[in-house]
Amino acid sequence: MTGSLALAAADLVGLGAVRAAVFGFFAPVFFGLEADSARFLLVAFGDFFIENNPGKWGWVGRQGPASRDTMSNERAQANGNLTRVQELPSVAAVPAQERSLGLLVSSSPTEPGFRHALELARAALKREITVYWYAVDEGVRAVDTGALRDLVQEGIRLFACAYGAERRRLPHHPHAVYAGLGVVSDLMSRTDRFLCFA
Amino acid sequence: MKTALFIITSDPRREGRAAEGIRIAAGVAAWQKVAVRVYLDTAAARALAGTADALEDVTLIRQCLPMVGTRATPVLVPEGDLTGLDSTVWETEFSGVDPKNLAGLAAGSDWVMRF
Repeated sequence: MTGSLALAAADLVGLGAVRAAVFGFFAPVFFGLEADSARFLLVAFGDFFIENNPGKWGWVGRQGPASRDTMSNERAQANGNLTRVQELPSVAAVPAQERSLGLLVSSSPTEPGFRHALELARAALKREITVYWYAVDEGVRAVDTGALRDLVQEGIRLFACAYGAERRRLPHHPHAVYAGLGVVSDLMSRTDRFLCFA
Repeated sequence: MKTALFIITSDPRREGRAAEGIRIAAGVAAWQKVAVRVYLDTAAARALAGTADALEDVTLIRQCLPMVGTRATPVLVPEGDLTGLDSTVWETEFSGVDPKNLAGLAAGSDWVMRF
């Protein structure tokens, strides 16, 4: 925590955005100072929250939903790696009457679990079921595969574990939303069916 | 509230999948939108009873296991593997369960995940 405070202090004195990797779903985090309001912002990038609020980013910090706040798109983009909110799928936007399927896929693209998840997702799309795919662990390596890109074109909502990608030093791809386990929690609580392919 | 059962069958001495499963369980539980239970199968339970330094991603396990093993909802392990697991070492509450009851636990959960 001392290190975090030091990094925050460094940013406050104008040394620019500082990024620090810590473990798990709290990370990676980075800090910034909102120039227009002089508000200190703590962004738990691994757990940012997306909401339907055009022009704004929403996120939740390590304290959970109570610490939700927003930042401007301009500011978010200046920090890098974030995409405009209106370009992203949102779990919260699922209409109640819509049938939905959540998939937690930790299998790498070469493992049978990945292929099974692909086929299930395709079958669900044909039945007009909304599919949410969360790639985690070795599954984040699959984000850049042609199969998943095609599925995104066909309509699946693709999320990837920001921590898993950072840990493996994988680049972020714009067709996926890099998020934290708060999204998995949302998927588990909101989707009609939730399956894990490990 | 929906319930999720995380069954950890992989051996943390050999791969990091067990630690990842525990991390995901803790991360989901933290949001309090889903009631999370964790069951460590024999390989994982015995690994935690052994030398911690031999475990893959032991830091992750140390950080996340206490979040899913509280007094109210202890981490479940096979009854026979409860001895040797030190709650103080892992800062986690463990509880023994008859493996025959695992099917009942799974049937009573909305979502079941195996890592």
